[in-house]
Amino acid sequence: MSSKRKETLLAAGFLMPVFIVYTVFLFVPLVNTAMYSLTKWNGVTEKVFIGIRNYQELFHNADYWITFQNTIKLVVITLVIQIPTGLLLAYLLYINTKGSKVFRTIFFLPVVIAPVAIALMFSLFYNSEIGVFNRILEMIGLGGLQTNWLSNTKTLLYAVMAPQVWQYIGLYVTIFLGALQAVPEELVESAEIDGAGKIRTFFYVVLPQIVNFTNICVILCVTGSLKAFEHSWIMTGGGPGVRSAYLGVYMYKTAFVNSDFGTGSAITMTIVALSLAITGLINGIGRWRERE
Amino acid sequence: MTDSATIKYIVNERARIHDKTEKGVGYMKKNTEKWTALLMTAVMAAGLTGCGNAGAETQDAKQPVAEQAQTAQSDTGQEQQDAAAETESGGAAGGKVSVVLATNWGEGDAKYDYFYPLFEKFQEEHKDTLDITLQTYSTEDYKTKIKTQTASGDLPDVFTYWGGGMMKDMVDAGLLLNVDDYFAASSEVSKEDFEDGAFEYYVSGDGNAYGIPLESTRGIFIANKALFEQYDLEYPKTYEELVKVSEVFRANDIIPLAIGSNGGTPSEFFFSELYNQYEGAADEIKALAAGGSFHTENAVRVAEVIVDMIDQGMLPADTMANGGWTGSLQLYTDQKAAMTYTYPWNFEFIPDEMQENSEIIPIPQLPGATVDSASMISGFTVYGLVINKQSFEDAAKHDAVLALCDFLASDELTQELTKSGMIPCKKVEVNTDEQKLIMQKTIEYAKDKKLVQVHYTTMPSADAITMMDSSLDELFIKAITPEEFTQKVQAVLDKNNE
Amino acid sequence: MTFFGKSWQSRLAALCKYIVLTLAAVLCLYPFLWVVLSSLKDNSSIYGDPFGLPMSPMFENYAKAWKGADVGRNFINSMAVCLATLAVLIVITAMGSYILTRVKRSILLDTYFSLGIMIPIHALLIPSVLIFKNLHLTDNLFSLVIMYAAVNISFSMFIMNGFMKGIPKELDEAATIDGCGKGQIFFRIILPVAKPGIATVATLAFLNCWNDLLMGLVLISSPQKKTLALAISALKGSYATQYGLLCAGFVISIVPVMIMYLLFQKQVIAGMTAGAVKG
Repeated sequence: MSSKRKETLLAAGFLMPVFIVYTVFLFVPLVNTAMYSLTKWNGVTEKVFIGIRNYQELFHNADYWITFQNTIKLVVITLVIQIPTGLLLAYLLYINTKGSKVFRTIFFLPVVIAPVAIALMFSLFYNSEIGVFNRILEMIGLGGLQTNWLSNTKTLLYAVMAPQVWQYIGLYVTIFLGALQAVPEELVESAEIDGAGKIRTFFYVVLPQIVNFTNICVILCVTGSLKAFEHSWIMTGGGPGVRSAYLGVYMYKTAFVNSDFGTGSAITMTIVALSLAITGLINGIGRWRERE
Repeated sequence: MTDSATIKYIVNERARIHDKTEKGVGYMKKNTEKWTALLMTAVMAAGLTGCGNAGAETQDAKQPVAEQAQTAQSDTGQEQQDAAAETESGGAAGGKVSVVLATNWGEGDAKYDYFYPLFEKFQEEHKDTLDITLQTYSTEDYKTKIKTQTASGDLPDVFTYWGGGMMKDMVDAGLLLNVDDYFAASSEVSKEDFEDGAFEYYVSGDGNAYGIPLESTRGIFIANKALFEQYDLEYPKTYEELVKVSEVFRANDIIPLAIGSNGGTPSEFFFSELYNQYEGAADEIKALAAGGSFHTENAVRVAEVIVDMIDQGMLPADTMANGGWTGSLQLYTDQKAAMTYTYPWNFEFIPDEMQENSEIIPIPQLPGATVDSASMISGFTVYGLVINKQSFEDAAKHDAVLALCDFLASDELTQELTKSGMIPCKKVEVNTDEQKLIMQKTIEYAKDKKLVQVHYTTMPSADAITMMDSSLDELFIKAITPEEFTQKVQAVLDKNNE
Repeated sequence: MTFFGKSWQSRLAALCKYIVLTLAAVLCLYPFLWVVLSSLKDNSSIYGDPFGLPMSPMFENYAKAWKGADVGRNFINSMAVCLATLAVLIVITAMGSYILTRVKRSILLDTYFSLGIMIPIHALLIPSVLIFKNLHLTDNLFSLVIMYAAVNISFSMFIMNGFMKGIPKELDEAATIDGCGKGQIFFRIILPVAKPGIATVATLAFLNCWNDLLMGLVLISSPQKKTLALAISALKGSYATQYGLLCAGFVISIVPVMIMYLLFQKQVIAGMTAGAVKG
């Protein structure tokens, strides 16, 4: 056997296990879901093929578009809050070696707590009768902002988003801290010797070095938001109506609560399509920037 | 597969793969992308065959993978699998019959502490003939589990489940046993042992009952005696009196009525309770099951009253945060609210001194209402037992399922469960002295009252209940009008009737 | 860089920095503390005084949660499943990633493997139950291992690829000259160097598997095969939940994850870097 042939054989052998597991247990279910989305199926009786009617009905359904918008809002808000905050905290840890180990462990702590507990805590926190949130606002002189956070159509969605956005910041702190530690120290030192302040050093020297790391964070943020489920489900059940539901919640409600697996699958497919579109866009921007 | 056969299989399989690759390498080695494309095609083909409706097809396509997986398994994995295979077949292995009982009376549920000891006793008594697997889940998990099991055809032999719209699909597919068959076979339990009307919740469109009702309930409106005395107030009998009482409480920073709405709890039941005060309402609720309308004049009227209650500041302003069973009750038990509407399953969370301090009163008579609220109480079946038809008709399992159902519907277990705050559907002697004080008061209050139904049990489909719940939440935060609320629910009913 | 006589601006900046960090730390530490405190309360004090200390600590919540969730048995189930998943996942993704980054590049396969990160887990429940039924692996912990491995492949490949790309090509070349085959290079050289990448994958995948409820729920039926997350979820009541009991369950289940993170923290941060830099 030639070495080239041997290499191909090895490549096939090495790739095969991951390929089979992934294909059979993830890709095939996805294809199945795509098939279900073309049927009328309550999970009990025979599936009836109805073509793209589920999609047509979905696109004419006001509730679907509300949850769609909520999901997009979540994507934007997680991107705008989690990534900069994660970066800021990571940078503060980076320029401050004292106690940074303790801090970074603490920052990761919320990530491992069950969302059920977090959601419960926040709904007690928001409660306008017994909660402390309104009391804190009053204490710091913002009493005018007091409201019924979960029962006000204007604040409801954001009140449900907050615990989720906050809970996973630690993940991004960890990623960015890793990124910052990989920046060559000479670069930073020489900039500081040249008299650039900490802030200028950050923007002109450090930031360009870690811009590539934001890619993974952005993708994690986006896919995480598009699949978001637990916080909304536990705090409000996605309600009132679907006012605090994301696509993931709407899908679960449709499929598992209302037993409409056809439409539920159709919603899933739109989630996957949306993810693909957004990640494609991000990768496209990434490549375009590299070329610049 | 025996060991030697397994080894042989692996050897053959390896030789086969080897041959194939040897031949294939020639044209594949140069072009990686082509080789990738080939893999992809294979996957697509596998994926597509995997989706046919016929299960057999799918099985064939995936069989080789199963075998590979099996050979790759560790010893413990193999053992577990064997064990699984045994329980799966449910056959009479070693003279014992395996049956599966599933329920949402999980370890954290109030019923568990009363149910489990008797279940263990039953298991012990039948240990030579029965091998019972008890599967417990929390409610939300349980619904998901049963739905996936229905889809994959792995329903438990006997399981507790909801009736009405929740069981409809299963009944239509012929998965559940007509309980008349069970009663005909049982020598211990008969249909006459149950309260009148208890089966209604489990009666399907064909007029047959598909579940054995276990748990009934009563909705009670309770008032904090001490607070009423403190402000020198009388219990309100009419809506006008309620408005006046509420003004006094509000002036003293006390919430008049602790009723919120989160996922339709407890608002949905409160809505039905109010609804029953109007002319013809009881019949309208009953008619829902047989295609009746939700969008009625009465429904709009009740929704308007609720909006007025919100406008008058009678209900907690933060309805979502103070909704749900626990949330609504808490304001009342903390004496931050003067009245509330609740159900027996919450009784264990009412402290003793509050049980003492609570008086059950009729709901104030609403404007234009003609049915005396003091003459009725909402009382209906909420939960029960369903039997897997296939298991019951399986000769090997029949006796086991029968024995298990006899146990679950026995007087002994029913009496024991009442201690958890359950009102039984079965007519059994209940020692009231063993009950919580508030339960004794409820039984006393309900004695001469006419039982009325709620929408929850007569809604013909699960999605209509879901819509009613989520739109009630919207009504309670005043995001929609009473008219919009009833129309939203009606739209779901109409869509299903198409 | 730090010496006495710093300007007051830099002192002020340092002060601000510590204030921000401490504030953030408090915000992150508090919920954990809240869960711990709530685990010692009953419902009326959780709702009545949600942010106070437990007046009479209810340690019996722990005893009840431990017994109710059968922690002794289900902990072992969860641990076994998670560790087996990690073993399978790491071996297969490391091998696959090695090929895709260092032997035969394929954008098509890279894209294919990244698809999985976008699929919501609820969408997989019914199809996966049907697949395992066809494979006669219903109610088998092995099916859980395979499924957990499958759902974690996407992000694991992502991180692993980034890491493998970062390993200098010269290493392989030197080894080839020494007469090593590609397989030997993988086991002798690449795997040991890729440790931080593996630690990252291991930690994140462990977190995912340990906290998963839904896959365990649909694939496992026998009580003696329940995972810890599943058993703790059963502590919820059918109408009203005793939150103190549930929180005690959460505390019990958080501890192993925290230990895992503390042990591998350093590698995880290093691995994240490597994974991200070329990602």
